[in-house]
Amino acid sequence: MAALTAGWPLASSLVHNPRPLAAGSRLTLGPNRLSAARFTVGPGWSMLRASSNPHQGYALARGPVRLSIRYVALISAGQEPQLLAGLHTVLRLSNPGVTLGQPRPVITAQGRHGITGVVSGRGVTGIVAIVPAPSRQFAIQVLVLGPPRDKLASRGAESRLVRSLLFPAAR
Amino acid sequence: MTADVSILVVRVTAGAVCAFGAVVLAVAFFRYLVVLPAAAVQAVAAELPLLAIGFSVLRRLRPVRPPDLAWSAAALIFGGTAAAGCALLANQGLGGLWAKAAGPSFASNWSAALSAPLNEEILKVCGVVMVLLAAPQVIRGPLDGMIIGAITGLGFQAAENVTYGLNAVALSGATDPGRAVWNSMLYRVSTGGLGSHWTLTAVAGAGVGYLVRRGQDGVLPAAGCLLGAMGMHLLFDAPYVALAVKVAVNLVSAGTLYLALRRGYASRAQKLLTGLETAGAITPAEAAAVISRRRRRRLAQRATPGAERDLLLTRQRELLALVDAAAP
Repeated sequence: MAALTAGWPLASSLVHNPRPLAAGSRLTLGPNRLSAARFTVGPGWSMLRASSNPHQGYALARGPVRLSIRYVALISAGQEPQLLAGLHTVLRLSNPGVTLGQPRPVITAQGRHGITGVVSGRGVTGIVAIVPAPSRQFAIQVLVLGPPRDKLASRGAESRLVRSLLFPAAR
Repeated sequence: MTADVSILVVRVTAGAVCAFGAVVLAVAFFRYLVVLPAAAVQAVAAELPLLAIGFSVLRRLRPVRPPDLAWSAAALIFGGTAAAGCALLANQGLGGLWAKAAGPSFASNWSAALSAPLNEEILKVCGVVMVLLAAPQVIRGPLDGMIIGAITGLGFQAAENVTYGLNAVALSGATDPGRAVWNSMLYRVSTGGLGSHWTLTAVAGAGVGYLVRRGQDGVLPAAGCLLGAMGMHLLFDAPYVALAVKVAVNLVSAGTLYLALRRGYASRAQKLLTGLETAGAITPAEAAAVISRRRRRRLAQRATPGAERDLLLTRQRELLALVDAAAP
């Protein structure tokens, strides 16, 4: 039991996790072609492979800045009004101590409307956004967190990524 | 080291491993209890009927008499704490290795199928081994191993259902936590529940029983059972296979093994009882009643309460011990 419980995490920690992504790389997120989104990655990002899964979400890193982009499967269509409250809850679950500021609208290059907001906590700042898919059956949630000195870089990265979000099934 | 000290060491170790697993699970899901206490309680409470019914039914599947209640409960707890908690860490580690070595795309499809069978089947069958080492009288043959294995698997299944239910909250954007937990539980119990962990560990546990009964000659069947359970698990987690097929394969595999073992048990028990009856050690009525729970109960009810009934119950217990010793 000890060999499996400690051995695999130890072996995994010995293998380098981040894999650099070329600027302009396009990643697809979602369980299938009809329920998927595509986005474009800016320069300098690496993918944290152990925490990335094309069906559920990616974890990216650029220096101390961490970006997570998650597929959110809505339980039923028409849950868009609950997305903001859900975002608060998800933040409290995944990043204790981080709070969401005043939300404001955001729009992707494809014309999809979502919501975004500044997040801050002890020693970290960043931005979060959530954009529902046209099918209203899923949404894409983006969270960028980094030290306060990287505030502008975080916001720029999030803004570029959210604008690049594309829902191929809607074209 | 004397046998008593060895057994004590095993029991303390098992308790420590269960505590460790419980802490791992608590740390991983503690935030849900703080942020969404109602959903967390709901996720746990929804498993209680499954646990109660499953525990009762699985124990009754052992012919003649159910396995010891305390050790059955120990197996259930081991599956739900030690095995589930350790599996969480082991699967994260091996899953991470798959993602790094073969890429996230490959890992998203195959990581579960290639990690869980290896980690979880070994961790769960450790529960059967722990019961065997801590209370050797509980597992005397493959049928005992199978029942204790199924109960260990049930505990694991319930713990996994809770973790999946809570994960479903985040995966659905926490838009309706109560419904996310409920949907996840319904899906896991109604669709895959019939062919999941309890069937897998039942098969692996039978292997432990073969080792007990046959010694070195049991190594091959034991390895076969463990590999069989891993194969069933791999199929269950594999992409591109219909869930109905997965459930049917696991249910039929475990069911066939159970029926074969049960028939063997009944045949050995009958042979023993016939021998005792022929030798005049027991009456035909006792021979007919001893391997049937209902007939034993009926005989006891007919006996006059007090000394006569006590004597009958003592006699039944002695005969059951004889049958269990000869037929495992």
